[in-house]
Amino acid sequence: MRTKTLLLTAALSAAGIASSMAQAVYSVNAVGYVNTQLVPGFNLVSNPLDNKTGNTIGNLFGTGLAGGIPDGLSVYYFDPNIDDYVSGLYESILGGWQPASAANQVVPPGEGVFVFWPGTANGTNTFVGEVLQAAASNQQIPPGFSIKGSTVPIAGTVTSMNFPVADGDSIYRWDTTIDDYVSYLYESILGGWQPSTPSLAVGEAAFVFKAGTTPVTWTRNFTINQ
Amino acid sequence: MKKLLVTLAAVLVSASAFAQGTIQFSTFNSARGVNAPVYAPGGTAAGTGAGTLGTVNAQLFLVGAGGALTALTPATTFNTAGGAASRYVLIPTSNVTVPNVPAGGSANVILRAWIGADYDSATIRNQSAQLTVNNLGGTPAGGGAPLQPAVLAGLQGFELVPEPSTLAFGLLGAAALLYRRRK
Repeated sequence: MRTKTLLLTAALSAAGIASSMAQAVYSVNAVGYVNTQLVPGFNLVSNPLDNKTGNTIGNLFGTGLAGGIPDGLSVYYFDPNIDDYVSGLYESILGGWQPASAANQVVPPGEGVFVFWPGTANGTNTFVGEVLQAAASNQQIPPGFSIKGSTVPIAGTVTSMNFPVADGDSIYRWDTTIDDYVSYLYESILGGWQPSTPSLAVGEAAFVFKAGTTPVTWTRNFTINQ
Repeated sequence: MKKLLVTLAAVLVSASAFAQGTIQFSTFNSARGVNAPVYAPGGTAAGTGAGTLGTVNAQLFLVGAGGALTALTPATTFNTAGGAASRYVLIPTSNVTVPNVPAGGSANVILRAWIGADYDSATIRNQSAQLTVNNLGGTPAGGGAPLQPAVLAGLQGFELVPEPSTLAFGLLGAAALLYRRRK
C-alpha cells in the first residue's frame, strides 16, 4: 500500500495570555489530510487523523473517496470484545451501508479496518482531521488480536513508534501483492523481532497479537514539534 | 498421567471452541459475485411481495454428512425498502458462525426462506441449491491473524412456493366457491 501524506496546515496557533505571569501560552493544533491508496481487493488501513465530524465508518469512507462510494465497497472492523469482525457493505441498490449500523461503527485514530476495494482500478481515500497530540496520541492495546496503526501520520518501524513490545507479541501486516499476511514475532530469546522489525507506512494498519492478559498502553505523547 | 489427560481434554475443548468459521450473510454483493434474489409466490420481491402472508425469514443451514442440516445463526429477514433491494436479505449485525469448521476451511450451505414460525412447519417456503463456501473467516485454529468473513459467492436465488397441501386447500376452496355460485 502506498500512502501519500500531506499535512496541509502545519500549525494553527492561538495565543492566550496569562496576565499574572505576563507570558504567552500557545495552543497548537495541526490539521491536515492523508491520501491512502486502495488497491482492488483487501487493504488493511488505519485511521491516521481525528475526524472532527466523527471517526465513524460512514464518515471515514464517505466524501473522502475519490469518485464517490463505489458499490461493493466493504469495510471490516475487528472488534476484540467479540473476537470477530463488524462488517459493512455499501450497495446503493440496498439503500447504502448494510447493515445500516455499520456506518456508525467508530474507528478511532490508531485503529484500522480491512477495506475491500471493488473493481479493477486503484482508488484513493482522503482522511481529514486533526493530528492527535500529547496524551491523546496514546492508545490501549488489548490482549489478543486487534487492528492497530500509528495514532499519528508518521511512518517508521514499530520500535521508532515506541510500540510496547513483549515476548510473544506478533504483528501481521497485510501484503496486497500476495493477498496474504506477512508475520513478525517478537521473542527476546530469539534476538527480538523475527524475521525483522516491522515497519508501518502512514495510514497502514496491521493485526497485532498482544501477549498477556491485560491491556497495555502504547505511549506516544506526540507533539507537533517532535 | 491424570494431569496430562485433563490438559489434553482442555486443549481439545479450546480447539473445538475456536473451530468456527464465519460468513457474511449477504445475498447481494456486486463486487464479489453474490446475487441471489428471493421472490415471494408470484414473482414479487420477498421483502415486500409477501404482503399479508407474513414476514419472510431467511437462514443459512450447514449441510453435513448424509445431508444432515444444522441451522446457522443469526437468521434474518428481507429488506423491506422496496424495489430491487427487497429481493435480498437484511444483513445481520453479526456474521454467521459455522460450528466445527475452522477459519480458512470450507462449508456446504443452503439458504432457506419461509413464512411462519420455522421452515419445517411452514407452508410457504423454498431453499437454494447447495453452495460450497470456501475460506471461511475467523481466527485460524493453528494461529495467525483473523481472516475476513467469507461471502456467499455463487449462491442462487429462488422463489417461495406454497406446499402442495396449501395449494390443495386453496384449490378446494376455489372449487367450493365456484360450486356455490353455480347453485
